[in-house]
Amino acid sequence: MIIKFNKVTPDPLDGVTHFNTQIWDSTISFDSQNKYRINAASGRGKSTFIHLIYGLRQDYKGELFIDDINIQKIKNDKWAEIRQKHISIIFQDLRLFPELTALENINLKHTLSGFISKEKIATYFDVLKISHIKDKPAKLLSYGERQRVAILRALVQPFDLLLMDEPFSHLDAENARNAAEIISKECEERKAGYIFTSLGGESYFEIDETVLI
Amino acid sequence: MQKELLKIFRKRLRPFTFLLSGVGLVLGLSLVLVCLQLYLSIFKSLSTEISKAEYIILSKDISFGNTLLNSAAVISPAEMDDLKKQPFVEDIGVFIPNHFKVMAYAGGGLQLVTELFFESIPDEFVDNRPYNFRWEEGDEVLPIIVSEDFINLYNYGYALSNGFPQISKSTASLVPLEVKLQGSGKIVTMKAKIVGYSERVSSVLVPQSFMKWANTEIGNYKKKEQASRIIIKLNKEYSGGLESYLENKSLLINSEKLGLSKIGAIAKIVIDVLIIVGALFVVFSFMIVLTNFSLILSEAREDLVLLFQLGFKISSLISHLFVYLLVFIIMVMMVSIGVFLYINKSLASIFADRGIAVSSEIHFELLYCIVFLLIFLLGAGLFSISRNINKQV
Repeated sequence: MIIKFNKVTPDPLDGVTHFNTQIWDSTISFDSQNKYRINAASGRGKSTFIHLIYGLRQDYKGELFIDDINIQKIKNDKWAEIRQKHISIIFQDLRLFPELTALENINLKHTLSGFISKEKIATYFDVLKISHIKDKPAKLLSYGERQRVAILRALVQPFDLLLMDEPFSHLDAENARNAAEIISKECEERKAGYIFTSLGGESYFEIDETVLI
Repeated sequence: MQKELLKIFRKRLRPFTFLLSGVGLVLGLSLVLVCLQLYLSIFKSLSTEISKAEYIILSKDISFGNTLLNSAAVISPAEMDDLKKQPFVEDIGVFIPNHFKVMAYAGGGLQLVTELFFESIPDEFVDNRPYNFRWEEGDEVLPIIVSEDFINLYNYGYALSNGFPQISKSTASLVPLEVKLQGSGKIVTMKAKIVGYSERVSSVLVPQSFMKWANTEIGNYKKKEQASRIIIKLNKEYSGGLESYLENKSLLINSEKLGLSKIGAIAKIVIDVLIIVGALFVVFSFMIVLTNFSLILSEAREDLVLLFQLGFKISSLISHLFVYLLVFIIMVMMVSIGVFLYINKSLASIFADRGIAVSSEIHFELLYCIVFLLIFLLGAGLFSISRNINKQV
């Protein structure tokens, strides 16, 4: 899967892209088999970038293609299919269902594909050290716990590309390393790449290319 | 049904609003069903009455002039021809009266002597015609069909006041009768036997072959036969026009059945109004249900959007939410059918107490009505839900 940005500028950044950027108002392609790190300070449109690829925003100038298809031409049903099978995401704001338990949040996504086994999910709960809270509603969890649930939710489906928007922002070093390990393992099994954004600092991931936004 | 989805939307469902609109729907639906049932019952029992009235007997209005001039009120050949052309007429039979004097003697201890008259009509107009209602020249026994009204008159009027025994229909046919026919200077005596009873014709009927023979042989009437009474077989598909036609031609009808259909028409109007009221109940309650649903959907907007973002198809979200409506509608329909059955049963006993014969048997047309209502409610619901979800996402 190739994602191509052709002179894309999100409306909120229109006229203010005076900073040095390789993405906005430029032509750049991302290959789903590669591993990208997107580096930037706040306010440069990292989340916007992630959301654009995931099809959540229409407010931009320029053209954005997934495998040569302009994403504005992709219909709702096709997006559902892409999100079920080809692109997975860890939102910066997590987006869990607060009234569902940790496990139910995972199951909700898992029922769409049934991609990995329930045993594996249970193992990952252990690895991420959230087994003890799996039956607690998400609204009662700490941000760090919720972040790990969101990470796990992104891994229970098939994908060619994993989008991660500051996935470890609220994790300590050990938890971040554990999470990075299972993410890398799952990507390897799927022969998938990833794009993750970071404010800088340690990345915990193998990186093919770092792109400045 | 996915239990996580159920959990997301369950908290949004408003049980009280659904209960209220459900009660409204049940009221409306059961009212529609009860009214339709009544409508069909009345309509069907009326149409049996009318099919009994597929024969009517007409006579000319007797005016003072007829009495004064001693002229018979007859239906002229021109009038007959005109009648034959009317759309409501399928066949016409003419009553032939006797033109000789008839005396009847009842034997068997009754010692009843009475003057009598005979009429005959073509065989195909005689109802309850038994096999032995036939006569050929030389036959010794004359078969007679009398009106059921006569037996009733005898039993409840004559017999009681004169101390005669009441007789049943079957014993009446065992009473030995003798008739004396007198005219043109001839007297003929023969045996007679009641072989049947007519609901349709208030007269004493003899076979037409006998009447023709007797009128010629014994009768003193040589003029061409004129019709004073005729029997008409009505065209089943006749639609009105009958009453006004008869009035214009000053013809009298002997049937009460048309009066009955007037009462039926009024009852139908009342029921029509009730059906409309019921249908309005259904429509308004259902609008509340749908408004409630769109409120739920707009409150659940964020959930719907997130589900879509996680890869749920809009169509699967629609079908998930449609299941709630389906369950609701089916429950409402089942309760409505229950209420309807209960009311139908109660009405049947109320009618039975008042001696009104309205069948409580459930008409199969109601099934169509239920299926139609289900399709309508579910169709409108599906449309509204999918429109709302597409608007939200």
